[in-house]
Amino acid sequence: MLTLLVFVLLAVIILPALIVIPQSFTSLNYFTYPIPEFVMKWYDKFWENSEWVVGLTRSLVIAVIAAVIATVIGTLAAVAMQKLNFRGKGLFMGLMISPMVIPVVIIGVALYSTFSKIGLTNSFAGLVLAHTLLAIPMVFVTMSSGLGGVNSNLELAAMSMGSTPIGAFFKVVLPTVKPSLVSSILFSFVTSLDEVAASLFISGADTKTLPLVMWERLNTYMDPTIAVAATYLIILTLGTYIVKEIIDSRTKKIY
Amino acid sequence: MENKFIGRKKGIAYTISNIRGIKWLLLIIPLLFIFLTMVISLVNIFERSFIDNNGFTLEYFIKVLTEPLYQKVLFTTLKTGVIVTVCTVIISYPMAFLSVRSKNSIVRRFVSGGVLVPYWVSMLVRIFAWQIILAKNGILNQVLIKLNVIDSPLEILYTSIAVIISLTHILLPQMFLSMQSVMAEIEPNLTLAAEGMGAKPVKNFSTVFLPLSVPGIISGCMMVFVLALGFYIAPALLGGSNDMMVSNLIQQNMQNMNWNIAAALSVELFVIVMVFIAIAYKFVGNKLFTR
Repeated sequence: MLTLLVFVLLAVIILPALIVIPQSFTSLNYFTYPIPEFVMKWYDKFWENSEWVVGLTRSLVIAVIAAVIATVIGTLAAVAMQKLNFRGKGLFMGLMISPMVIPVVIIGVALYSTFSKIGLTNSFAGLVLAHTLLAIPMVFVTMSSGLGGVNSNLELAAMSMGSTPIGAFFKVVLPTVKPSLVSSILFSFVTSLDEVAASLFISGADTKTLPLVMWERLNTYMDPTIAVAATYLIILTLGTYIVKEIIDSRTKKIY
Repeated sequence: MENKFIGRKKGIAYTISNIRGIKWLLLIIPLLFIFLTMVISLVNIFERSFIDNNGFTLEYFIKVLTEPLYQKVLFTTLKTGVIVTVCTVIISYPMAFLSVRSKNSIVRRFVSGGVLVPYWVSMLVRIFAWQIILAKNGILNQVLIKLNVIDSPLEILYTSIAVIISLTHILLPQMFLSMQSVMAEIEPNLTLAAEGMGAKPVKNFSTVFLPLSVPGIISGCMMVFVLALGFYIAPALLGGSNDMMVSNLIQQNMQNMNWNIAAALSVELFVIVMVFIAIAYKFVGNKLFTR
């Protein structure tokens, strides 16, 4: 009984997320079901339009860079929490997590107010900085729980055998938290790829990412190329999730 | 082996490790990044809520707090937050329960994996999907008419119902994860013991499992409520002009260059969010943020 209810709920939760995919093959130029005929024409239209293609490329490049920087900074912060003794640990933790709980609009408005003074609005670097900021909490939370599970005796053993603290970290700690590290990178990659709310404030005509182009189209004229863009976004984000799950289940088997 | 380690002592890692205070870089680099991007910017914008070209003024705060339009938007925002929170609790609870207590491990995996699928589908895509589903000639209305449930299409899109549906859908995984992490730690023997002492399933659930899962519900509620307050893409694309939330008002004022009003609204929203986070933190501590 309960199982049945939950499976119905699951269907209601999952289907709406995927319903846009068939719409990208429609032969009509608006969205409706049933779809009269399945065609690829909107995919051609997508690749012919430089706004979409440039947006997609830009999104991917920004997401990769932001994911790497966020993972480095978030990991440093997580290690600091674990290894260092300092006053105001709670405050430090709060600061690292705050980009996740402060409403994105506020962060967007705030970043705009500083970025506009130093010429970072409508710039590639500005978007990378904003996306990195928003991804840091994900990395911090993931890495903190990952590092919490490392047996510190391993590290001490390495150091007693002549390894430096840095050496021990890279050779002993990092390999054991590899799954968390991979999760962190993937989480932040997707966070950046999907970011609209803050980017809207700081980007301009020259720096539209894929979701921003989508947002603009959703507000002006809707045609099925939006569904094509949505399909690509789904493939990228859901693909990331599946990769993460595969890695997670593999590591579980090893340990 | 030994030589290898000794040889390494002269390497870069050794040199770096020996610089005094180098370990504080772990702390300084992240702090510097957060300060230079976020903290300075926040201070900057908050300043504008009480300082304009003529110096210090409380004009904007008074306006934001007393004018009926702003009060109404704040009320809509809080109301939406409460409704969305309640909806996510009702839907997540049975799923989280099944994900930790089902006897079938495939069901457990399937449920915990399935709930997270929407979490990994771009938020904008999901909002767009709800536009297609809830439209006047959209899927939902077509299905309901075919099934003879209704005669004429329902007007859901561009109303607060559409906003609530999509926010519930977006925030559901958050609630699920909070509940699941607490439920997973409830000792299975406790319910077994109650069963052994003759408790009927319903009584067993309501006196043993439910009370123990309350911390998960509280932390989930706080997170979902707080996150729901800050949304602005969903209300902008799915709501009508009456369903504006504080975030939309902030964005609108930014567009019209009403910097000071946007700043005052930001402070208002920020304070509300922080108060709730603080309350939640008192209740559940660090657990609030773990996944």
